[in-house]
Amino acid sequence: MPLYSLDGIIEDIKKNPIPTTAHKIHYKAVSKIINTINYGGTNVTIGPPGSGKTTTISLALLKMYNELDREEVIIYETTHNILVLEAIRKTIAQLMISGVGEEEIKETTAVYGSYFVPTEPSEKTKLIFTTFYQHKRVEEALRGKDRVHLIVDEASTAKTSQPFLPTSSAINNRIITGNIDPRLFSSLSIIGDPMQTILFTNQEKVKPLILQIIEGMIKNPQDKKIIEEEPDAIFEIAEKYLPYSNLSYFFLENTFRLPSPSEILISIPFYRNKLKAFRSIKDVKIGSNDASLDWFVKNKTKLLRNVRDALDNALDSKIPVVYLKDLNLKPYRDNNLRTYDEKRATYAVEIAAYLSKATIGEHIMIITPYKEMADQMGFMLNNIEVDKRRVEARTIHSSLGTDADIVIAVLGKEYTTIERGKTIYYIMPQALNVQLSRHKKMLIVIGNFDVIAETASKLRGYKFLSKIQDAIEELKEDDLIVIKEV
Amino acid sequence: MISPFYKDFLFRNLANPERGKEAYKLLDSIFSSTSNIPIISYVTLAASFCPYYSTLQQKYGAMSFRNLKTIEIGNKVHELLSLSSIKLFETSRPSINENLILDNINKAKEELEKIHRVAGDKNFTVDKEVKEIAKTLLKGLINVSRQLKGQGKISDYSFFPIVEQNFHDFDYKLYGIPDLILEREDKEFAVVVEWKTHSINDEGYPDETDKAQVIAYSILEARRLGINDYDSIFEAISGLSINEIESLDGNVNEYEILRESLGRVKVLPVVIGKKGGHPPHPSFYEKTDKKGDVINRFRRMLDLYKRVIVGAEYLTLQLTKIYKLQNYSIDEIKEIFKSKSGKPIYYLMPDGLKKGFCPNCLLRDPCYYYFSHGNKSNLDEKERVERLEILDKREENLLHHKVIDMVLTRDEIEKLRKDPDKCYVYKVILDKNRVEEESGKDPINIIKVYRRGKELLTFKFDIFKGIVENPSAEANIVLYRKARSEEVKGKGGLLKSSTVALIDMSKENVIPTLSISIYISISSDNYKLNKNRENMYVVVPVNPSFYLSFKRFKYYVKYYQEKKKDIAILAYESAYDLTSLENKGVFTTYGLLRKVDSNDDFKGSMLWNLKRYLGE
Repeated sequence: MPLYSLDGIIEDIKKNPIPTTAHKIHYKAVSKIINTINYGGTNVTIGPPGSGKTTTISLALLKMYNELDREEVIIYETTHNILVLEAIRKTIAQLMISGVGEEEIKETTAVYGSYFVPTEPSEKTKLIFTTFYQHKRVEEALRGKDRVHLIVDEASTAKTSQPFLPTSSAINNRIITGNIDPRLFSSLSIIGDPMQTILFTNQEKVKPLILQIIEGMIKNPQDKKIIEEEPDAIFEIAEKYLPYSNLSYFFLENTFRLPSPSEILISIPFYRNKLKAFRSIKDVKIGSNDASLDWFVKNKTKLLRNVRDALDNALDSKIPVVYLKDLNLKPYRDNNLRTYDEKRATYAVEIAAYLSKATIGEHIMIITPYKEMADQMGFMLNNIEVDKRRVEARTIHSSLGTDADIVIAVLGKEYTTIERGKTIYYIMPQALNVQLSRHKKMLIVIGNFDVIAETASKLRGYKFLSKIQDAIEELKEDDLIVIKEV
Repeated sequence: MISPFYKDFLFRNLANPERGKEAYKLLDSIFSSTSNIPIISYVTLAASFCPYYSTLQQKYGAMSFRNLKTIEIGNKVHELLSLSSIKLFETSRPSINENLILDNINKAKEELEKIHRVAGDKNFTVDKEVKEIAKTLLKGLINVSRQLKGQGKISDYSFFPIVEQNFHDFDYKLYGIPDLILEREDKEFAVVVEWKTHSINDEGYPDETDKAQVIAYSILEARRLGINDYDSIFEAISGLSINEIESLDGNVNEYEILRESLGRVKVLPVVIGKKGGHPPHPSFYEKTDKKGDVINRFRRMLDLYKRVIVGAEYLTLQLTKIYKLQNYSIDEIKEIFKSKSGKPIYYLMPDGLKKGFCPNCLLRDPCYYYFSHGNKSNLDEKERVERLEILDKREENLLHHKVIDMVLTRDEIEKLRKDPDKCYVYKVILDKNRVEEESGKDPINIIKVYRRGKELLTFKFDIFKGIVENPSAEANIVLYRKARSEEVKGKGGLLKSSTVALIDMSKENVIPTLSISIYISISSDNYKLNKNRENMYVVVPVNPSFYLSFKRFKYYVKYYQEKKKDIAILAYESAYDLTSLENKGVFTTYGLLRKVDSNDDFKGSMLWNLKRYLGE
């Protein structure tokens, strides 16, 4: 596991500067966050996939950097080390561009998490970046501070308390010892997306903080009932209540990652078609290459020849979505409820290997809901000749906060069971959203959306998932999807 | 397994004694179905101070704030001692003098500083104060060893030092990390050492909590040595049996008793602090002891032993969701366990445990809050739901270890080692305390855990042929075994992050969770078939924050290899348990939100805002 240090991160930025790609909409969101920090209260920013959550945060930190008093500190807190890294890199890059000196950055920034060399606490600290479980370090870093602003990036596994783990006990301790004046414990900004926040819990009552806050605004029982039936209605209903609440709220409605029109696969089911892609597939370039036949003979690929034409077709005609429809799917009985699906694993690995040969420099990621699947595919990739720096297999959980040029989404358990508990998409439909929203150029899906749509339509509170069929129909009409039955 | 002490308490207090057998059976099945056992430091608080105080800390994450500086020094002393005690006792020596101790500490200091630098802590230093404390403590231990040598318990200063290992015992419901255990090579005698860097009282003698703690660790060590029932374990620790102590009267020769008991002790508990202080074993005097008080010293030790045992049982019941484990309704369970006072028996304090002294208690407010039956708000309900969630997660984390103990008996490990190509699926039915096995199709062993017909957990384990160092990298664990036929075809027998345990097969009695172990994060990237596809290697780089435990682990691997011991290398999937931290987070978050009600200052603060959204 790499261990990042603040010095290392700064050196790295100097070598590979990170370009800023902020848009008008980000500045609108930033002004809301800054208002919250300046005047207190709670801010909620909804950031669907690729909408620039980290960009927004880093811009807000940049704007506030020179405004903060000596006794004031902003804590950026999130669930994943990888998100901390992303946020600190973007923020430091912005600070450097705006002319803040290297030494000053080192003195005023602290970072904590298991990926990081812990920063020595300093009185000059202005910004703290941390994952949870770091409360002792945060406690030390809060010495001498009496105004604390908290920014929570709620991506996954977050329950009410978890984003607060470092700050809550640190702040409590400070209050007890009298070091923080509670009146000045000032603001909370949460950035996230309830449609992507994945909870790893069996308790249906435990909800992510961002969802609890939005739902807390909604007082009418009728509206509460609607949200239970149609969770995707929450954004529309929330906006109705905003004028009567002092919650500061913003919805980042453009995705800068997904090429249009592939965003409709998530926009239609999860966001009532409110999410729009900024880039068109026409502007996307994929470096292509002729894949050598020798390689396939040597590696004894079994299934690939079935689908090679479909892949080539998509690459040649710039079609962003390839859908390999798995027809051999039967409702589960007790004894075949396995998470490992050999056929899908073999397809995914062979396709990834093929694409790594047929393209130049593109980063390819296989995403599956199950650890066992991801591990087995990783093992298969280990044992064939493929550039491991360009091809990887991840679980949905570990793919949060990351993206890739080409994503192979391997669906899992489209049917569900009742006796043995619901399967993944019917415990957390957000998982499907994450899986279908990590690609920058091309998405390949292995699975069966018909089964998802049919199963979801029978379950209370999951009907929105069946809208995925509408999205497929729409893509079909425009000839922007390649469908192949396997 | 229910202790005779709790059994006694149960039968005496049941409101319906005619249902005693049923209650006993039900309680036994509750204990065998749960893995939510308490941490030893909380058990000792229950045994020596206050069961409510310990429940608040263990179950509710309540914190009593301590000085960070004291904690930091204590941690450094422990780390320094962990390295120097290995160095001091690994070689056999006729004598140990002060220079040797000092030399040892200096070497350990350098090594420790190096380890911290590798782990990214650039400014870590061991200062003079830490070194001085470590030296005093080691000297204290050497003094005890000299006495033992004088009494013929040991012939030289050579031991197998077990340093800060994670031990779980699900029968005795205890789990914790003993500071140091020195095992005599023949496994017939051990000294269990508890270092005290701050809490020893003014006279320099251990307080009740220290004593309870080292007795609890001694129970684990006794189990490691293969001693199994409550009476024999006590006899191993004190040197006299429970019956003997109960029949002692004033006419005995106290010197004779001390000599005899020390002669019979198999696991000697000692507490060593800055000012000395070796009780709890009655052969060590305390300043407050009256002359001729030997019999009472033995009785007090027995009393404390009983309190540790029932304290662990009491806390286990507080952590367990009793109603979820059994096929009885809530009302039925309450009826069966109804005590004479009307409350269910599992909420009552067993004999010997007493409420602490409230006026000075740091946790008085939360105690009042959590143990009184006031009206519960919406916020309280949210907190309760999260708490249950954390308890579930904790149980699942511990279940891995519990089930491994149930499945992997000595014979089972031998069987798996004999035919490494064959893998099994084990079905563990917790509520029936039963293990079924069938041959599996996957190239790895799988354990499925069921309770009341519902599958709780599935995880994998593997037994490796060897463990070697990777010559090309410093901090690496390399496990290897023969590649299985399925693996050669393309499907791997892969593990997720796991506990790797070195199980000493020379002993009759094998408890995997009382073995030397380390936790490593494995992923499929770590699995490599060698060129001719005969062997499977698992090469795991060690996470920098585990370097210190890795250094110690490496020593044990070397030790076993040099002594040519028959060791089974077991790796089983497990989770790194962070639930106590999560509990603390919930405790403070909701504590803060609740403060909003009582304090005007919070209006206009972020908490006040947040409470408006969450609380109403």
